[in-house]
Amino acid sequence: MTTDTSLQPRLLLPVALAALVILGSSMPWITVRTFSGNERVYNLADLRGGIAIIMTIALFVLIGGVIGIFKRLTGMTIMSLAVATLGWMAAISGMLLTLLWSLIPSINVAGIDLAKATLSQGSGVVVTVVASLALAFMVVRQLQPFATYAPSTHIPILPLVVVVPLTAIAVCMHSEWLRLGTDGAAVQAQVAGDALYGSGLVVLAIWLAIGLWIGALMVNRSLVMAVASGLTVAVSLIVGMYAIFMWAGGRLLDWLVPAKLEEWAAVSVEPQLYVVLVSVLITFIASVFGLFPKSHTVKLTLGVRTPGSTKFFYSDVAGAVLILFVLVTTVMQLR
Amino acid sequence: MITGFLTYIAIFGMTAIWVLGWMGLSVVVGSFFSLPLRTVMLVGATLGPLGFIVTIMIGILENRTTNSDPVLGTPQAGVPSQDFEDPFAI
Repeated sequence: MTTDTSLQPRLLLPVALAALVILGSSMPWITVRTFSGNERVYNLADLRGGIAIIMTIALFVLIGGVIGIFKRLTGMTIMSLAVATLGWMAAISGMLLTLLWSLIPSINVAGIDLAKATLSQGSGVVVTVVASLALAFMVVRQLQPFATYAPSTHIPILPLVVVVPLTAIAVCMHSEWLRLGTDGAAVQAQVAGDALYGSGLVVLAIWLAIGLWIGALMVNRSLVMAVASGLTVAVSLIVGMYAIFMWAGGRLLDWLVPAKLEEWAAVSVEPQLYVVLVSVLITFIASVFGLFPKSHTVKLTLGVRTPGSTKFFYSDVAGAVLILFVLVTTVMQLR
Repeated sequence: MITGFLTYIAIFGMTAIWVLGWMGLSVVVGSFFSLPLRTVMLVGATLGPLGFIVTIMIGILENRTTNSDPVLGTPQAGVPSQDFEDPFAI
């Protein structure tokens, strides 16, 4: 543990990440799409006692923030544990339901028979989990023996290249890939990426891969990157096959039904499917490179801070951007 | 009111089981690799299954470092360690 205050982590980014996690709890956690074209979203606040849970966690974050002013690492640890609880609530609820539904489609959720609907995780899960993992790694990297392996000014590029498209895949897995039937029709099916058979397990693997890549950013060793690359290659292949089959199937149906009978049988491929195809291609190529140790040495070098240099902190800039995002989103939600 | 309270308890209980479960597993693995207990507990509690995997990786990396000779880089076969103590010696 560091004792020199100039070497301690800055407090703005952890506070911003904690605020982002709490904001994520007000975003959709579960999306239910019925075949009548309706879409219903649920989050923690919709549950009885949900607001009390959010308030309890916010209180612990506040306590952690105050303690962090005096004892930085202790405060950050309290904040991290509090938001990790919320992050795991989001992850468990979303993953359990989608995993269960992708294997046993005939269950009831919120009074809706899921044999007549599709179930997805909402965008709130992505925001909550990624922000809580980032904060957890910020705390963990201060502790021994993790501190030995954590990079300070030389950040590996490969995890940065993979994490962005992999997160895009995770987000797009929970949105519509294909739409069957027109908007005016009474029956309309919106097929999301995680509505496919067995996709619940694939979503779990995607999350694990994202976590491992964030870990590779913090633990600067070839072993972590090699394991993350191996898992990402497998995940990219499976998601790529899902996307190609879905795209080809949709196109095939569109071509095979020449007369659309007043367009009631229209099949439209949604833009998210193309985002998945492009992201899968990037992650696959990058993670194949990641299997070779030479690619792990490509690093981004940040400027070394000297005693005479200006007080510019990269984490403060990131924290300020996140705080701005949280404020704008909160204002937009309140309007 | 009662339903809300029970939901509150149930959700926190479920999350606590998840967090403590992964913390326990990480502590077991961390003890195997002789990693500091406080670090391993925090890693398991905050990172869950990911913390468990990261603990294994750090354990392997740490063992690689401690098992290698500082000069030659490999363990010396047949040469007793400096801190070796004969438990039967009086």
